[in-house]
Amino acid sequence: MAINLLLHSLNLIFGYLIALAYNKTRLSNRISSYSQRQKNFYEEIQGLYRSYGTRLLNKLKKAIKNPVLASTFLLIIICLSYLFKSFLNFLLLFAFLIFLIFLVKKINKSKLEDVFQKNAYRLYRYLVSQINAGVKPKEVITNMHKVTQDKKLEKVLVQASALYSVTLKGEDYAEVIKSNIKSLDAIRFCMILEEDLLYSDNENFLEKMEEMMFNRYFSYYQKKTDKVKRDCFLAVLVFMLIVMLMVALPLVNELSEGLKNIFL
Amino acid sequence: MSYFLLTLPIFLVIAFFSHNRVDKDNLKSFLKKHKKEMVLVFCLTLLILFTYLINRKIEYLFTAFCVGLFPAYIPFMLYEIYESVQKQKEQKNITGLLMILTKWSAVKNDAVYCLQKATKSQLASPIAGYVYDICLRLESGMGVSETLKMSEERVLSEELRYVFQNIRYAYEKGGSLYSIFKNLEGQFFKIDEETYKRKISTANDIYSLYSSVALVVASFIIIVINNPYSKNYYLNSERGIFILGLFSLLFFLGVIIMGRIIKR
Repeated sequence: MAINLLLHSLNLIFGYLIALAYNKTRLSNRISSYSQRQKNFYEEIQGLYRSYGTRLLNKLKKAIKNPVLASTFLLIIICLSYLFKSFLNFLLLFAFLIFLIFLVKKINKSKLEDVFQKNAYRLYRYLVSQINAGVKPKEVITNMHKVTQDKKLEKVLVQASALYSVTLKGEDYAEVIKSNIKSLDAIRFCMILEEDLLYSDNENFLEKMEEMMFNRYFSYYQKKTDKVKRDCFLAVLVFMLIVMLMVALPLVNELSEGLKNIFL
Repeated sequence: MSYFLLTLPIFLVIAFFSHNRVDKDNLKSFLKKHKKEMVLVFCLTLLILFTYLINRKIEYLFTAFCVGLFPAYIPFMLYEIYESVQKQKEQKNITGLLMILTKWSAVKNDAVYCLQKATKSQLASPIAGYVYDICLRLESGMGVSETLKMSEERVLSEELRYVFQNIRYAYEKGGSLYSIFKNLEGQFFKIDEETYKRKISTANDIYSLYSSVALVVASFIIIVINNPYSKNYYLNSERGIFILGLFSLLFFLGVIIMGRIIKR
């Protein structure tokens, strides 16, 4: 009884501590992210041009220069090598993890391209309606991120708008989009921004582009119908596999036991 | 340990509430905003509870976890189905709303006038409610942009949000409402047509999917519960219990695919 009571109270205390830690980490994360954002705003904008590899190398260089970080990194490697019995095992696991990270990054990028393709006609519609209403192209570009509801695309557009509002160069805006979304539609969109929109108001052309992009979105929507059929087939296949195995396995087991009895 | 795991989601909810400073006044709106998170926490609690109960009976954690996955997922699945039904209701009636808005925008290039006229026509339930709310807020003195922004946040369908966004931009910056609505009307007619086609072409696939689920359940009752040899194999031998866990995992996978199909 006493032990049970002690366990319950320990559980409550431990749970409360976890809740407290959760709150504290959320709060500290928020504070640090605010200060970090303020500090590194210009640095981030400059860093947008750098490739992922260079940024990673710079971070590694910084980490190696710092003795505490370097020793911690070494200690982690030694611990993990000990944990995985040999250094080779650990290296293999490390390589596999890096491969996984690159794979996830690649999938994310292709997703972003898809999202851009789906949202392109909305961006063009926004451009057309705003320019028709007489809004200045610069203002239209800086508010472009408000159109999309996808968070990833919104992030890219916000980065591009931030850079554009600092430098006021259409090329910079286009460069950010091109570096993040490597698709033909994105390149064409950037080309229009650089060549057409900022220097002339060609609304008819933009309207045509919107129509074209909507047709693409529509074909994507049509493709979804095929996907539904494919998913249905996949789900039925999974369910049938369960039924077949459920019936077959006890029979196979019974058969093998019977055979054993005959030959032994 | 299991008792602690059971109480952990509750502590996390308390921490979440205390972090966001939720009091009685804004509790209703807070719950409305974070419905999904609440359902997820409830599912997590159910998963731990089911795993614990099943594990006590069969004493095999992997299988207990796999079997517990499906019943714990049911509330989330129901929530998602409810949300998708609401979304579909909204999407179905967007074209009707746009037709009315196009008609009245040809009479007067004023977003408020068009919306007020739309309340008098017979729109279907969720959209009629949104438009009525907009007019009510406008009559009580709220700004047009704010009202439309509030509606954008409230609606579930991305397409309807896009329509409200376009009305807002047209109101804020000016421009021809008729051309915007006419363009959107054409786009949504096309999407409606494709949705209808999809419904017809995938109807048989969806029926076969439902019947395969029924088949899995029926075969489980006939083979595992009613057949003494199979019952002994699946519920008493270690290999059988492991295979039962794998079947549950496969079934859960099939149910997830099925949920994805229903959502579309």
